[in-house]
Amino acid sequence: MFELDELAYSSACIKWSPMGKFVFVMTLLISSLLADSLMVPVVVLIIGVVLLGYSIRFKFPKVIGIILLESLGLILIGSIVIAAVTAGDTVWSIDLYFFQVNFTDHGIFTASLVTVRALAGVSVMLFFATSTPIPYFADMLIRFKVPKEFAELMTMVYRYSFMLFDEAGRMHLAAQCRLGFRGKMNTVRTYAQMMVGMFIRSIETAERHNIGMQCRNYQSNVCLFREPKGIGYAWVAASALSFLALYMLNLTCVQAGMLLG
Amino acid sequence: MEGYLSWEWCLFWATLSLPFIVYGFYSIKRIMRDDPNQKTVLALSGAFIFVLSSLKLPSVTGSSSHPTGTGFSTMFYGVGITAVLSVIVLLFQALLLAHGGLTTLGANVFSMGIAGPLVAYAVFRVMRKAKVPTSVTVFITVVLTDFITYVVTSVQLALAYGTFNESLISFLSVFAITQIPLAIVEGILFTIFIDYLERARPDITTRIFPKKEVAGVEP
Repeated sequence: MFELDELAYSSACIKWSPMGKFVFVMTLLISSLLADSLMVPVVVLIIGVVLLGYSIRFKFPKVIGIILLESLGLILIGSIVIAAVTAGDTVWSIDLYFFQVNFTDHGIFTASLVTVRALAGVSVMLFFATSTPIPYFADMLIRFKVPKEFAELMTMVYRYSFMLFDEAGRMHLAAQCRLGFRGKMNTVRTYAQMMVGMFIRSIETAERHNIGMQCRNYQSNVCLFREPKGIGYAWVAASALSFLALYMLNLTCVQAGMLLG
Repeated sequence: MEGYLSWEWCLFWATLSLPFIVYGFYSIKRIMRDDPNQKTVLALSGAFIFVLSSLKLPSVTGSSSHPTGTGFSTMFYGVGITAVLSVIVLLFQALLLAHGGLTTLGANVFSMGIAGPLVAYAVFRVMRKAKVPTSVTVFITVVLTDFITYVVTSVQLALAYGTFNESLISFLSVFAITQIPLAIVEGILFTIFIDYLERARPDITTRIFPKKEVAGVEP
């Protein structure tokens, strides 16, 4: 669950400004969404893969492979449905005994555009996720003037998640030793017992933590050991230039009738 | 997933979700101001929902599915707070699991944290007033939360692609394979959960499911 977070702490891009990365990533994602040509998402995909590779020092761990495979599966199912439901001239049809699925030319183009956009989105998001730990993200939200309470709640949820995961792991192991996952109904019952145990312990822990935090004069601040950098002019310029470049690329492709979705 | 909705729809769903998130945020702020001790309880509830969403449940289709936990949150905290907790959980899913996305956050929050909980909360209140047994109330609320979430997700996709009616049927059929069994399993799970919780910590559940006083019996 926290593998991406661990990767983020050892990323080659951890010292880059989280705000800068966020603005840049959003620029790429929005450019990809605005494009009518397949070319723009393809370029965004390439940028995303290069940045992701650099972020994880070109050592692709298993978790990245699992995430990519899961995403590919979901993207493919979605794209097939989109290709089948979009109206247009039928170019291919499959007879499934009870009903016939027709794939139209427009549907296939739309599905291809969505597939590449989604792949580009996953690669860019993975770059951001593998280079930005959650506390840095919360710090970024505060700098973006998002209410402090929200950032504080987010950081607390993140920190408590580790505690609960630890507890859940121990309970899971204990339940496994007692054959708690034998049969589907038994599994559901065991999970319900685990959830009650976790919930009660989380309430008790909250009470204890609250006293501890009050004793230490907790003032609702999101404190970080190493303050991340703020956004510089270079990030703003890079984001604006990449948006303009992608916009121009899209215009050129549309005018030339290249790879239109 | 990132890239599935055009920018117009991303903007539309984000704008539609915003008032609910703002309302939920002010509810949280009010709770924190009235009783600062509730801050840690709320944070732990958020963490609890996040951990729940990582539990893999056996599904009828042979695969495994994840509970959303929003049914629980709806019954305990209402719609506004559920919307805010959903934003946090969905942000975590995007940043820790690369699921969902940032541009589709508004659409995901609307289906998972607003529409599902809103309908389920209304039905939950009606069932409480009609004195429907606790187990039935919990089951229906949780199943409805999941079910409406999946219907709204299908509507969002159907609005974005193809002719609405045809697309809606196609997306509903695809989601039904995993989501209906998941909703039923999650309903059963939370019914057993509330039953255990009522026995272990009745002080927590009495706020939502008040116990009937039996005449002639000392409390």
